Amino acid sequence: MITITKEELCSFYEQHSSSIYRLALSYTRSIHDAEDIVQQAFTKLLIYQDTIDLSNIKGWLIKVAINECHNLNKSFWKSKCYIGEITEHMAQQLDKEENDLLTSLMKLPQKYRIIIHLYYYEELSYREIAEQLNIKESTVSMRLTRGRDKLKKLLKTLNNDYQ
Amino acid sequence: MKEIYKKTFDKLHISNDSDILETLIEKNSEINNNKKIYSYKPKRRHAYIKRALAITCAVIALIMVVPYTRKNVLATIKYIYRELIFDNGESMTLIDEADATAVGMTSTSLDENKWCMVNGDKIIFIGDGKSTDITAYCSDKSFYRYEKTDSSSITHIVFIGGDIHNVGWAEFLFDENGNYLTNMLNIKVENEKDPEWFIKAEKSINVYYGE
Repeated sequence: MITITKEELCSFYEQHSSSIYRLALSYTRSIHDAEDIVQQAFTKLLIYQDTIDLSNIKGWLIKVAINECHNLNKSFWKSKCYIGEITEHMAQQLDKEENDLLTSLMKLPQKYRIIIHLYYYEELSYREIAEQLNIKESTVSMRLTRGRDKLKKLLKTLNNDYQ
Repeated sequence: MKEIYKKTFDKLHISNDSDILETLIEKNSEINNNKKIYSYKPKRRHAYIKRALAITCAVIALIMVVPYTRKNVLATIKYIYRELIFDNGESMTLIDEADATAVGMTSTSLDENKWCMVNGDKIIFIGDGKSTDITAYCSDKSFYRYEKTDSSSITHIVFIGGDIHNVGWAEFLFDENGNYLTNMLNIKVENEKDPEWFIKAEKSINVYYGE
């Protein structure tokens, strides 16, 4: 029987919580929902610690976080998020380019945001993204292309010449 | 793209990291302690499972009585502490969630007939204390709009759409400076897609952020 010690838990949390938070933030667009997702994902890690391959803990946490995000999205109490919430919250720390990127990204539909995040931030391959989201690789490719195009258009409307 | 994306997201951090970790440590301790108890006293495990089953049944029963096709949503947009008291006596509290102990929002229960009601084959607007037939304005694609500013200087913009079988309303609140505060929705949802009249309504006041 595997038992995650307090030290191991702290180590796992330190290594992976930020990634899970950023993924959830990209998906939910809500700071508070994202923090809830982090807590839920790690709670599941503790509950299912006996059955998890701890050598691929990050992949497992990403999968759980995505499922939790899906569940939140389907929730009866699904909230309407204000897309400016993150940029307003981060106004002091972000420069214009970063602020424009985040603002534009948050305007994209969720199906594009999550793929863009997994590809650019987590650096997953098409195959890995397809496995995480249970979709075809061709769908990943199509959504990534369309999402990137939409993102560029949104950035242009902000008079940003970033490519 | 990758560099700027990473740089941007690297700046996003969990604000209440220590609270979450503390909760997880407690949870882990609880789980690990229970493991020991279960392995030495199997009867406790049965008791636990029975309790879990009872709770699950209760939750399922609760879910079953909720009218699942109707979305009654109270969504807070800005996380500032503010007590809103409306003319009809309802109140709403927006709370700063930076305080880990705070909940997102509290409110009185949602009155489905707060703004309109169906009378025979007509949709009647009742939000202003009068009874106005607004049937002609309402359809799957169009809405009736009403706006008022209350004694707290909160502007309420209300949209009513749909037909007599699936009429719904959406109320959006703005503060005295025109800042969007929150919304209250009572909308019939099909296949998790917002009705067209509602999307149009959101767009008309620039609060549409996608489904």
